[in-house]
Amino acid sequence: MHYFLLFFIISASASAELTPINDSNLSNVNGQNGAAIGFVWDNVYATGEDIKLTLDFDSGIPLVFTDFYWVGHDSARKGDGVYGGNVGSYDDPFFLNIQEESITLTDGETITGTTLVTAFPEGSYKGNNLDAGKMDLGALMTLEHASGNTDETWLLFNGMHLDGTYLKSWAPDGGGLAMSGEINFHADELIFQTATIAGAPSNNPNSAWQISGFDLYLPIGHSLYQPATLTISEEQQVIFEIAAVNSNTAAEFYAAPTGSIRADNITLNDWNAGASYIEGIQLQHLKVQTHDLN
Amino acid sequence: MTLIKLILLHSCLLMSIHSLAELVPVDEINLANVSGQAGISLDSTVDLTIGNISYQQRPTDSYFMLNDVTARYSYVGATIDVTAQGALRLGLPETLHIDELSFGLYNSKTATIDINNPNDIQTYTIYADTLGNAYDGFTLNISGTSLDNGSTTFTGDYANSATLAGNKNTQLTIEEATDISISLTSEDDCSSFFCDNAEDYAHIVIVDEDGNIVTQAGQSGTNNTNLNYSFASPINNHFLMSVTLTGTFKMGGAIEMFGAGQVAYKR
Repeated sequence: MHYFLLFFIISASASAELTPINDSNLSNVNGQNGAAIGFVWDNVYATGEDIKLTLDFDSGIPLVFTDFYWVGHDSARKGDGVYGGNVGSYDDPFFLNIQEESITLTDGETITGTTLVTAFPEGSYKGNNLDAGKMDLGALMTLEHASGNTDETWLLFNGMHLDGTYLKSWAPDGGGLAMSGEINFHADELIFQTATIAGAPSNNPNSAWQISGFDLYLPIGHSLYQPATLTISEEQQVIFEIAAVNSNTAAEFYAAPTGSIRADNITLNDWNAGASYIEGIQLQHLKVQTHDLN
Repeated sequence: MTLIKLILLHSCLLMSIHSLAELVPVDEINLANVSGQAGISLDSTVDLTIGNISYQQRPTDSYFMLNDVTARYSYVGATIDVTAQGALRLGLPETLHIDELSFGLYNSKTATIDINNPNDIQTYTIYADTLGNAYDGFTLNISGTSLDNGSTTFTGDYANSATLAGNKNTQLTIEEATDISISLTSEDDCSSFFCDNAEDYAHIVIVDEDGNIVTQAGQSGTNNTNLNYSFASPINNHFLMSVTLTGTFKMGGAIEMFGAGQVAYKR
């Protein structure tokens, strides 16, 4: 009897049909190479107590942050009622991966390379319910003027997540470090609020500049053919550059998704400015360079 | 009773006792004493300094640098565990107290810097002289695109368009400057017919602070000599920003790390 059962199990396994992956499913798995390391944030939160973060640009007026919280969406900001937020899952984690990539340009040249991928969960890409991954982030910014006056402003990011954001880095032929990626940032509310109550954001909605339903999607460079680089030049100037699109890379570039910035509603105190959408953003070339660091 | 029966009876008695043994739940107090059995709990005090962390994009570029990194902090309640799914679970500390976390951001021409001496002050001495029968001296013209832009500091007894008598010299000290190109012209000021052969040589020499000749021109038998030379900026590093963090964070939750196999994603 036991032998019969064992034979049955082996037979069943041996006869399992290998189903080919169709094109639709295959398109979802390009870029899979190597063994990734996944990370899951489970109920994570951090709240500051008597903190002071000072950014001093040697200008005489340092930028100081004197309060901070990073908690689950709609959690209490401080105290016993705080709960955390979750980022990723075992099936859709934040991950690090090394992968081989190749791309064929208009002139037939094929560029191949190995990229290191750091990616947030896909989240909305798979149509998941994103509420579980939303978190609230707040920071109290203080500007201490030379006159002795102090301005305090709360920067509040309610219901935010970065699902879909990723960064790739690789070593280009010319040396150095090249990068590309996409920023996917969502916040239910972005609030810049003058702090009228020390230690906590004001509950008065009329003292804030508020953006509801904010979404930022911005591709920055493209892997292998449009690298972004950060350089300190020989003259000690900081240069950030996204390589220019040329006739050889234009076909790939213009076939890629375009960026967008969306705000469903913007209010400034009692003034309702309505909705604003910027669509179709394409960074054909970007070069930002300092000139006065010497 | 045979020996075998005795053994069997003894075994049955033992089994009966175990079968009837009541499983008493462990209360909170006792559980607290054995909580360390599931994973590892960590408290830590750290006092760490790092001289500098530098990054250079390409060999010809300057460095982006975190200098004088100081990390003095302590935490309690961190945990390390392995979940049933095989993930390494890193529990965040309940309290993280930061006495000081600080560093300075710089760009630098060198991989290590001395923030107390950001400028490598260089002193050059320029000699413009004659090696013959000087008649009326020479005019020494010092020019360069960086000389008058306000960001360059020179000290010394040099004088732009100064007239130096024969066998005179002037000193040029570069304290703060971008890269400098200078042009030196040693010209015979005598315009009369009789002067032409009066001076045997025009000679310009630039000597560094160690007495080494950096470059020179002249001694060619001609009256007038031109010398062009570029000085590299003596600035080793430039301060961008300092970052300092102090305070206490209350934290909770955990980060789990695991082998994710081949992650599928559409990018």
